[in-house]
Amino acid sequence: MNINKDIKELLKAQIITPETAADIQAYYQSRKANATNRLFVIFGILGALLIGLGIILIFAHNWDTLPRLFKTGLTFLLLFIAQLICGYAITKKSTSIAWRESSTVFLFLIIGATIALIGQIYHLPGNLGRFLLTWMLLGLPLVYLAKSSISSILYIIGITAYACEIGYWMHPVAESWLYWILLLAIIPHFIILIRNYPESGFLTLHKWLLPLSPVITLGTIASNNSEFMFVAYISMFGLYHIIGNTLFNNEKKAINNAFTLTGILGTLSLLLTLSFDWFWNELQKGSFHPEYMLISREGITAILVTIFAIVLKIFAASRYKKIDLSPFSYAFILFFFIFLAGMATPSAVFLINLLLFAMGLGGIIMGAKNGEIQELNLGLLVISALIICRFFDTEFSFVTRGIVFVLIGSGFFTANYWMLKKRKANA
Amino acid sequence: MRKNKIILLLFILVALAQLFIPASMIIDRENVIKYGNKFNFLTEPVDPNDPFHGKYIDLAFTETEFPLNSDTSWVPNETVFVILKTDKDGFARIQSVSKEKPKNSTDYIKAQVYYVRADDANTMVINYPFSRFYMQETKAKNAEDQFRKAQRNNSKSTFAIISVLNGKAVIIDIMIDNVSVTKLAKP
Repeated sequence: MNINKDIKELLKAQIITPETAADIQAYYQSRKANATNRLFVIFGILGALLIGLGIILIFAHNWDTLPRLFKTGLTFLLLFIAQLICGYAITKKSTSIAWRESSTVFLFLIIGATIALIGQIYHLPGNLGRFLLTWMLLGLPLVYLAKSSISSILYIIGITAYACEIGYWMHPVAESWLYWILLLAIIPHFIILIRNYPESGFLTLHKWLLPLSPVITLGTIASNNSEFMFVAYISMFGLYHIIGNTLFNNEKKAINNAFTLTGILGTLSLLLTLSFDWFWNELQKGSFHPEYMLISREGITAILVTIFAIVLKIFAASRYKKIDLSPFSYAFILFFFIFLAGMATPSAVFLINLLLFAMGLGGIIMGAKNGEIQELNLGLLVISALIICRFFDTEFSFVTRGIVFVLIGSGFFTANYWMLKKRKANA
Repeated sequence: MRKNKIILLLFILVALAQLFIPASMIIDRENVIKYGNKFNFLTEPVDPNDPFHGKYIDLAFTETEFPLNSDTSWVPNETVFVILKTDKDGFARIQSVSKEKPKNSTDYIKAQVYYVRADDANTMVINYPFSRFYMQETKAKNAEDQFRKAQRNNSKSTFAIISVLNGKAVIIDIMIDNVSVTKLAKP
């Protein structure tokens, strides 16, 4: 390694003491060991995944010369072997992540394979929802007993697929309330990851999957009053933003703070969609009874999510003695009232545009005040997006549009230039 | 050490549950096969473009309708107990339908009301809890061709042998003129 050469040189020049040299060498040694360990984990998991899937495919051939009981026996034997390997890893190799993760993944897959193969052997009709539910329930304890994060990831994907099957794909669709309980069941593992392994890649994966799963499945609640789902979704994105900014506000890379990012992107895209007047005109056409809508399941969901987000906001403010002023953690409260107004009058669309404008302006002002380039640019982005959207509404000439775009672009340049200059002056 | 023991104990319990669920699925079906009465359900041609999804035959049956006449209490997706009998040609027929579990017969299937057709006889259409017959991968294509040919040929009867016991049903085989489709199909 080059570093040894450098150390020798630094020692010779008496820039570092022999103790420091030894410390540096020890540090790089441990890092190297860590890297090999990580590779071992990744290959272990990949190997287990491939072997598990390969076995499923071999069984799926459905050898009809083999007697039925022989086939079921073989399936069982495989499940038992997978359990033995996993049990061995949990008791004898509990310190090795590679052992724990790969053996648990293998068992997790084999459980699914066993249920599927029994379905094949006895010609059961395909009931994907029930199959996924049984599989995930049998796999969930492994996440905790083997402290296996990959199983947790498979579980989150599995329950999301379950909710989609029950709530979107199946005919006729059914209730998927159970999904929310299943989702809650994985939260303790997430908390363990945050507390014990704040730097791990598994945590980053969870930070992305956990907010994305409900984004996919919240829509399963919609039935007759689906307009109310806009409130539920915007409140959920507000909730994400609050979670991201309180729990993970010291994240080094913005891309790792999936809660905040999903919150911002979700709120922004929905509000921009609703800044066109078609939605509000449609809302007027429907014969809604606001009292009824509020107690519909979409209404109750929307209200519950909103209340939950507000409570978390207050809790965060009192706990950290600091109020997060970011417009994205407030927008959902205002939107709730704008939506209520929208049921009475289509002019609520002006309020949405006003809200977006205020959010953009707020971001710019706060960014400039705190010297946060990211915040400033986000504010500028909101206002630009708003202006671009309004351009689709109206029949401006190309020249006018061109001039406005040039102005927006110049705005970005000026604001960022001014900010960098201000930073330099302060430094 | 104590903690390890508890984890191992819990793991054993979980492992037992993981073995128990599939085992109970198997025992359930094995009981139906062993003790259930066999009924021959005539099949009818399914969508000829796509009778095979992956490696199974998608089955449709002729005996799925039952006239309710004046009884208008049935709604779609409701659970229905279909009581079976065998006709003089040896094929399964619906004897009656019931909302409650029949007490004096084991020859019934727990099914679902697909829909009730608004015709003169007020006909109930039934969704049976079996519709797939899995085949060995290499024989699937050939079985499909044979099955299709037989369905088009009116002189050949294609039917599924289904074992029925106390509401549960398991497909045992698909027959084309009394020969198993797994024997007819060549790999």
